[in-house]
Amino acid sequence: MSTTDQQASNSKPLRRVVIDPVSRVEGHGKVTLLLDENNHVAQARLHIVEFRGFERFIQGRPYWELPVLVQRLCGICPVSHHLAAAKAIDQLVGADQLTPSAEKLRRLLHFGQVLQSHALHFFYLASPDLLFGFSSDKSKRNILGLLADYPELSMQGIKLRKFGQEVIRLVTGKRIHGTGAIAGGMNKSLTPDEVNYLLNDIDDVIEWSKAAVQLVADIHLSDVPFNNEFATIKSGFMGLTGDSGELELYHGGLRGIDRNGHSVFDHFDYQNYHQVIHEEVKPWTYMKFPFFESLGVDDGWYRVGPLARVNLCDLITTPAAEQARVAFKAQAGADAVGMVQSSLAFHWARMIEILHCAESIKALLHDPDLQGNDLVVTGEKRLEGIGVIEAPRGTLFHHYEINEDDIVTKANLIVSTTSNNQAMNESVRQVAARYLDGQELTEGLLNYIEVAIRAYDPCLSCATHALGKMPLQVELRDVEGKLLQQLVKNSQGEVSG
Amino acid sequence: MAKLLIIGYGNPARGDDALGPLVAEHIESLKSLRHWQHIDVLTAYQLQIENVMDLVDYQTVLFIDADSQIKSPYLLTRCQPEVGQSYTSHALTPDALLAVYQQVYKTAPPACYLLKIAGHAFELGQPLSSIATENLRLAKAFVEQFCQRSEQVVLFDDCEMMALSTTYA
Repeated sequence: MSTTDQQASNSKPLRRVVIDPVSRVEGHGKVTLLLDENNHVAQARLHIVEFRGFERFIQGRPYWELPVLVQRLCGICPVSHHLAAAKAIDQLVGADQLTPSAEKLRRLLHFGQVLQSHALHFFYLASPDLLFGFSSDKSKRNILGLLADYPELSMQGIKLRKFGQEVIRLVTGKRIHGTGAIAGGMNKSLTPDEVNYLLNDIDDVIEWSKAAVQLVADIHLSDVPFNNEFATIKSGFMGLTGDSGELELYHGGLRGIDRNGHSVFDHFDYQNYHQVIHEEVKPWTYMKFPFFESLGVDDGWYRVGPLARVNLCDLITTPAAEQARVAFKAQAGADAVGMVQSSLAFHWARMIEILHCAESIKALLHDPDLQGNDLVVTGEKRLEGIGVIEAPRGTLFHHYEINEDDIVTKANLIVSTTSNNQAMNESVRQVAARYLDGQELTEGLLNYIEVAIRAYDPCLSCATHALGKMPLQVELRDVEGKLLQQLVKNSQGEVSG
Repeated sequence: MAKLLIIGYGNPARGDDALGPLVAEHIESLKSLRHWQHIDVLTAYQLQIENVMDLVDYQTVLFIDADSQIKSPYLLTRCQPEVGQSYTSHALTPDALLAVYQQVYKTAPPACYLLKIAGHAFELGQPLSSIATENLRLAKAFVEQFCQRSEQVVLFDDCEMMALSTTYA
């Protein structure tokens, strides 16, 4: 491990602190802090340790395998990859407009996925910090602590997760590796029994979602100055919106604004995304840094995900979620142009989306098209397809090229966490400078860094969990590389010095 | 007859991480032939919080996972409700899942076992390694034996576990 860095701006002795891996995020990432002799933060970076090979994994496979194949990229959001790939291969078979039944089944599947993903993040990964405090007793700051002190809330989280998973199971036919979406449509519809099974719980799901919105709003409003300042950065935002500017998770045009709230593009056809989004490569991380091409690398980085979507949309089409959005804009500290920049407000926005998903699922379950049999359309074959959806963590791009033999020759994926890469680094820097600068490092203070990262719900996507593969290591080294202090947590959670 | 749930978990696209689901699918394929009506089988990428609801109404649960640390082809261990590191991640260990079960249902969880199968290569897009392929064969035979014994036995004591572990190793 090097203790000097070519981009560190001063030449004084620095020491490096490594948080490896960051916990309660998906996959494997680490944070390095370079501190000078006075414990001032000279540099803070989030590294993605394992983030490679996606495109290579896909190339050489027949296109019709893609919706199933890409689910294996990620253990947390397989359905998002499934649907983005399906939208891309719709293009390959010339299916520009799905049947009403197929599109509604896909939307139902997507709402189920977003709902269960957001529930996992809020109830089990984020709320222990929010309810117990960022530097509270570490032994309590977890799911079991939550179950002990907030049993009803915890059970609602489990049931929300379960409901979302049941939507996925019924639409795709299986819990994992489902084959619901195929080129040009869907391969099955729902039976009346399946619809009724989901309807049995949907009113409870909506009520739990409303309660979650209220809870996160109460938490945020309990200390507005802190929550509006913590890890807060001023960024642009990007996401899909519908024709009327409404919140749209499945299909729409791209809307991008800069950090001052000025429009960069709107209702932009995502088939031409490469005209407005470029990606920068940096030598110290596997992950790329996307930016708005017209603004350049330094000014064009942006955020995606729940905060971006709720900020960008002009309305939400379901009534309770729309009411929550209006309250959010009025109370969460929106700036002069109506943008909420607080990173912790991601949680609030995420719960508004859960409520929108729950309301939307109920509306869809009453739609007879879900039980229709007209499920597939085809058209003229094409050699290039681009599918974009709003995954739980933000805008997800799948772009494929195939040859005449239907084999994928080129694949480009921009995953949500990649778009938030620069923003997460900026938030880490802000927190490090604000809370760690000049302080003796403690576990509680280091958790502040992790809280900032967790707000984005990053999916670092190793999607492997084999026992013994996830140690935690924190190192403190001087400029000569000498190890000053080390903490190691093994795969069983035992910490040794 | 005591009900047995088998949960094989791992990412099938990551080389030896597929070991758990492959054994689970093997048992699923044998269920009708062997008349194992008392056995249900699930596969998953990772154990998640809602899996706690899957454990209800079973007397015995067998988790099956790949493991990069064990020295033998496979190893059967008994699970105990215990807080470990994994509860801070998106994925849970069987022990952490049992701790959640105990907290949620205020009762002792079913008798649970974890079968670790040795794996060595976990890169995206890779097939099973040759060593893991052999370990898979051994583990399938072992779990078949486990299933047969589960018709009579709900709780395996240490001697039973030792006997099971050495029969096919």
